[in-house]
Order: sequence, then structure tokens, then C-alpha cells
Amino acid sequence: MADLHITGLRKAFDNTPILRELTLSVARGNLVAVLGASGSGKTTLLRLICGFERADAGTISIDGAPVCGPGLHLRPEQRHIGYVAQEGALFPHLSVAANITFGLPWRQRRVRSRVAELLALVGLPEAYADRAPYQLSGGEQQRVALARALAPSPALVLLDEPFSALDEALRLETRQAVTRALTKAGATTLLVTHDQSEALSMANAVAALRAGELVQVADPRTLYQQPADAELAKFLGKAVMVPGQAMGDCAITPFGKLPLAGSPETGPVQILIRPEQICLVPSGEGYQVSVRTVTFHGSFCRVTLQATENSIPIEALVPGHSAPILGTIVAVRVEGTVMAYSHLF
Amino acid sequence: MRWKPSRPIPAALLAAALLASLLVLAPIGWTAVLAWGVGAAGARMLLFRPLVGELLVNTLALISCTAMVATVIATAAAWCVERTDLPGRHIWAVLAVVPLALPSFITSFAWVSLSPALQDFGGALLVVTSSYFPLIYLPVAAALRSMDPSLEETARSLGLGLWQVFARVTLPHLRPALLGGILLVALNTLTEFGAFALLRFRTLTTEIFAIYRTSFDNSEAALFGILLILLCVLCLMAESWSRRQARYDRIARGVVRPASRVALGRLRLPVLAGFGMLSLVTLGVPFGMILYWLTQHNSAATSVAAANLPDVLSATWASLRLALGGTAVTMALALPLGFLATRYDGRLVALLERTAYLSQGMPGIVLALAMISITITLLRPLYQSAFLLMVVYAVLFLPLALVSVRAAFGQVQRGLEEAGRAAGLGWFATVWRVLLPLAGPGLGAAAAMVFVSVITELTATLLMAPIGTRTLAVQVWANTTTLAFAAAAPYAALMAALSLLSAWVLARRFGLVRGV
Repeated sequence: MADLHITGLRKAFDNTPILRELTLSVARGNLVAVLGASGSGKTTLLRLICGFERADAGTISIDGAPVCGPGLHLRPEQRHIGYVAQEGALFPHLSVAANITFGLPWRQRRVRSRVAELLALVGLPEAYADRAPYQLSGGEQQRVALARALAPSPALVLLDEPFSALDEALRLETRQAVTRALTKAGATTLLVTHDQSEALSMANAVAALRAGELVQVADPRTLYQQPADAELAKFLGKAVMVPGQAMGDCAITPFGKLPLAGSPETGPVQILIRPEQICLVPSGEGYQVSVRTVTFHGSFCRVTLQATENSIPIEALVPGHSAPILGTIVAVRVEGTVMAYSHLF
Repeated sequence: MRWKPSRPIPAALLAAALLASLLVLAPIGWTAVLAWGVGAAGARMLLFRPLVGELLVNTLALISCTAMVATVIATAAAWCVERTDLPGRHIWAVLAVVPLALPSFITSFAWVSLSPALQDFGGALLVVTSSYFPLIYLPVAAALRSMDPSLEETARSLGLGLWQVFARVTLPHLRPALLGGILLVALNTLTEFGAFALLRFRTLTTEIFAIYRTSFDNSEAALFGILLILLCVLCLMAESWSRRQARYDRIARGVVRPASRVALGRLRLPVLAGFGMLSLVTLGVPFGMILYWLTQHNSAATSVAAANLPDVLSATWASLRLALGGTAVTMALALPLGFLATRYDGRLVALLERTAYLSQGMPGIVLALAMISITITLLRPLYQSAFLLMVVYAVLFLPLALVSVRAAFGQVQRGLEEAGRAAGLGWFATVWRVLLPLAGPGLGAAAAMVFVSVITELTATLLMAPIGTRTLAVQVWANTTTLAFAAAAPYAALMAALSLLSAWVLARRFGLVRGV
């Protein structure tokens, strides 16, 4: 397994820039997620790394060896990349075993033990070897596709929205199985996705892509708690924005004085609070608000709160068992640190 | 499946469907009975002789050579159109399909009149390949379009070069389409008569015609007819089997994104030249020869027979009249059957539908001879009547009509009819006010396709046209067999124009020839 370096990568289709000067590195054995909305250029990035498209400018090197650069374009089959397409793309005319060994040299294709090994790696029983792809569920197809990609011991594994076609329950299970297999194989992996929770839960680092540019590259926790700007904050999850006055490492807000994460700020700011940071406190102390709506989801409960008739409604996420009663007055407190953004939007 | 449908079938509908089945089964049964009359010893004597061996070898050799050549040409053409940056690929895509609209005996006429050396096997291979390779091109191009491009991309990322990807991924994906196309080519080659007769290439069909002309020996012709039907049914069974196989070959859901195209680079000119050659051979020569003979003075032709305007007009009128009547009878048989097949279930319905498709396995010449024999024996007044010929057209093109009628009815949701019934309409009023308006365009397409097929039909017309009725096809035939090429030219030009025009209208109106 190897590391991946991308510098100054550019690509345009019909004069519409898709990627602008993108620079990104993935360290050996890490899983980096490229997170972006549709149209952000994430699939193009992946296709450039694979060699399915030619870059307009910039370089890509895998394990120190350039595969794409000025006057250089290695063909896809020369790049030693394990690629898992959106819906797995299993060859429908081949059995699971033949799919897995597809990329191996002819002689190794008949070694049964290798198939069993790879099936075990992705958490599938050995009996699956002789099944046809259409007999597998979507999640199982994805796992076989991963086993096929891992079989030739690629330098790099690329996953293109591998779970987007799966339903909720299957997605969680498949995600875990895939993460386990990748860790066990020690693979350097780039995962392309539009699903925030997928990126945050699977990756060592998340690269947020917007309109062909990287907005922020950080570990999942930092990215979620200290997003580079308010737009990214909202893309990553529900955000409550309230006005405040920053004073260095803390800020005065309607919820009282709150500690700031990130670099110190002063002056008028917008404060980012995540709904789950807002807690209802039983005793009267804290910010007094009335409960406007309560949407019960079982394990948790979404509530909108309002201080007075005309103030901005605030969304909070509270545990299901402590759901407040509609119309009552409750007190709230903000837990943890918050982010401040000085520029208005 | 149960025999009894879950809803009772109206008696009139069932009767109409039964009539269609009877019309398909009667000539097959009649031919079988006649052939049976030969007896075991007679059959052995007639079948195990050098002549039959030669005919079978001719037919099978032609089918295998055509299949091979057409497969290579069609696959290469389809791949270039669908997967490369070939300039003008929209035009090439259309040009690759147009030969299908040109009747093969017209193509045959063109080549024979170009050089008498183009007879026998070589000529037959040329004509059949250039007429029928679109039957392979169309399904292969469709399969390439519907193929998930990530399959090929994944194979590339797994270390395979372009050729290896084609051999290990693309070709297996194309296999059902290829097999289906090849079997259709085989079926068409088995049943082709006009093109081979003009080329003096002997197959089972031309032999049956020769026997009929020389000896009126019904039983010997019937024996060959049954042999031919068996071969055709074999093809049909293999074709339906290959279609069932194809069903498992798609697992990807969702919309297929178009594949990225391979840059031809230095190969661009040779590939363009190849497409140019293909169109020159399949279209340029037939049209060129027709135009050439049109401009020749009659004395330049190798015979004295001349075409004059009254003859041309009367032949056109005869063709149009028969084609309109034939289309009407065909649709009258196909509509109830299509309605039955889409609206009722049960084994009886499936059986009736399958019976109708069986007529695909009956060559025009066998059908025509059986119908002549039946009417002479049982229905004397119908013998040599225009109506009988229209019925024969209907039996010949029932499968073609049924496919489209079925699709048209299938597109109308049953809920809409139920809504009509709920709104107080009777059964007939529902069909009239709900079903027909909605299925109208599809039914129109079906009728138009039948019309084109009837107007270009030669074999049955030749054998069964009422005395004195000379259609365009019959005129082309008569003049070409007497080597009066210039005299045949106006009729051939009219036929080619009519069939191309209808094909073009169909394509524009219903998008049958979809571009890239």
C-alpha cells in the first residue's frame, strides 16, 4: 500500500471548470473521504485518479511514482488501483469467485484458497463463491466488488459512493464490513461520498469539496465541530446560528457566555451551535424558552424553541425519554464549545 | 399456470383469437398431412439423395458464412458508433440500419444486373449479408448502449488493456444480443426465396418453387416444406432461449450513464473508409444500379421488354390495393389476439399467443403452396382471389403486428380501463373511448410496419396474385428473370422509394431507429 499525492489538479468540461487547482495527500494506510454535494467535482476527481479521464493540468503520484502530469497519462490498467464503482459493477456473466479473481494473472485465477481468503476478508461465507451476482443483495455485491478490487493487492483503493444504492439498514452493516476489510488489508483508500455521516464515521480524514475546490481537510471531529465556514457547517449537519459578541476565547450569546473553539475572535460574530449541544435543564436556571413544536422520533426528539414571540426559532435535539411538553416554558443550556464566524452571510 | 383465465374471456374475443390460430395452424397441418402421404419409404427415397444433401449444405454453409461475416461487420460497426469518437456517427448509425428497409430481392436485382458473375454462393453471401447484417447490428448496438460503463472501467482498473476488456467483459455482455441476431439472420436466410432465385442459388425454398412449377407434385414439395419448417422452428426456439438467458445478465439498477468514448486517433481515416465501403456495398450499389438502369434506354438492356407509364401505374395501384387490404386483414387478426394477450391470463391465452408467433417459422413459399392446395381442395371460390392473398399476408405478418400491438396495449394501464368501467362505460365503450385512443399511436406503427412488409413481399404475391394482377414486386421479378434490367428498374425504384419512405416516416414518427 502506498500514499497518494495530488497537486494543482485541474479539469474542465466544455469550458466549465469542474476541478480548480486541487491539492490533496493521503498518507499510507489511511482512509480519506472526499465529501461534497452532487456537482462538486468529487466523481471527476476519482475518475482522474483512475485514469478514465485526462487532467487539464496538475500531477498525481501514487507511492512517489507519477501517474499523471505534464505530458504523462498512464492508462487505467497501468495504475494498480482498486476501483469500486457506485453499484459494484460485478460482471454479470461470471460467478462470485470468477469476479473476485478477475484481475489476477491467469494461473492464479484457479486458486480456490485465495477466493476463500478474500471472501472472508469482506465478511462473506465461502459458499458464496459459486453464486451468480444477481443472487446477491446489493450490500453483498458491494462486498464482492471490494474483494475483487483488493485481490491484486492494489497500491490504492478508490470507492465511488459505494453505499448510496443501499437501503438504510444494509448501508450501516455494509459500511462496517467494508471498513473492517480495508483496515485489515491495510489499504490506502479514497472514498468519494455525498453522505456526511458516511464520511464522518468511516474516514481518518475528510476533505470537503465545494465547486471544485477543497474547503477544508481535517479529521472528522474537527471538521464537524470547527467547520471552516458557515456554509460547510450547514452542509455537515443541522446548525443553529445565533448572533453573539466574541471576546477572545469566549463569546457572549443569548445562551450566556460560551467557550469558543478554533482561533480567538473579537467583535460581533455569528455563533454556530449544533442542535444536540442544546440541553434542557430541569431547574429554572438557564435561558428561558417556550416549546413551539415537538417531533418525536423514538430514541431522540426534535424540538423547536423560541425565547419570545418574535425571536428566531432554535432547533434542539433531545433524548426521546426527556421530550418536553408542547407549549411549556423550559430552560436550556449549551454544552461544549461553539464556533464563531466574524463575516456575515 | 392454470388453463382457465381468472376472468372469463368474452366469446367474440375468444372466437377471433381462435380464428387467427386456426389460420396459422391449418397450412402447417395441411403441409404435414401432405408430406405424411409420401410414406416412410417414399420419404427416405426423396430425402436421402445427393440433391437434398446439396441443398442442405448450400443453405447451412450460406447461413454460417453470413453469420460470421455479418457478426464481425455488425459488431465492429456497432462498437465504433457507440464507443468511439467516430465523426458523423449519427449518420452512420442510420445508414447501418437502412439496408433492412430495402427488400433483399431488390438488392439481388441490383447485383445480378451489375455482373452475371455474381451468382451462386458468392452473390448469395454478398446479398444476404448486406441485407441482414442490421439484424445483428441493432441488438448489439442496443446492448452496448445499455451496458453499464463501470463494468469496462472496473476491468481497466484491474489491469486489462482495451482488447482484453473487449474479450473478457464486452463480448460476454454482447453474447445474447449476438446470438439472437444471428438466429434472426439464419431464419431470414432459411425463408428467403426471391433473392436466391434471382441469383440462381439453390436452397430448399427455390427447390420447392421449382418442384411446384414443374410437376405440381404437392407431396414432395410438402416434404421439403416440413423440413424447412422444422429448421425454422429450431431457430425460433433457440432465439427465445437466448432471450431468456439475457434476462439474468443485468444486475445494475438505475440509469445508465453514457460510456466515455475511445479516441480513434490515427485509425480515424481507415475506420471512416470502412464505413464508407460498407454503405457503398449495402446501399450505394443497389441504388446506383437502379438509377443506372433507369437512365438507360430500353434497347441498352439485354431484352426487348419495355416499361411504360400505364403499366407502372397499374402495378403501383395493384401493390397499394393489396397492401392496404393485407394490412387491414392482419390488424383485424392481431388486435383481438393482442388484447387477449395483455388483458387475460391462463395457459389457453399463452398457447393462442404462441401459436400466432409460430407463423414466423413458416416460409412464405410453404404457406402459399399450402393455402393454394387447401383452397383448390376445399374452398374453390377463394382460389386465385385477392382476399385469399390478403389472408396469406395476414398469416405471414401476424407475428410482426402482434409484437407491436401487444406493446401498444401493454402500455395502457389496466387501471384506466377499470376507471372507464367505474365511470359507467360498457366493455365495448371502454375499448372504444379509453383503450384505442391511448394505444392509437402504437397501433398505427404496427399497421405501418405491416404495410411496408406487405408491399415488399414477393413470394406469396408471385404464387397467388389473381390472374392479370401484376404488382411492383411481380414486375421486378418477371423482368429480372428475363434479364430485362432496364424494364425492371422503374418498378424497383418505386419499391425502394416506397419502403424507404415508409421506414423514414416510421422512424421519425415513432423513433424506431434511434440515433446515438
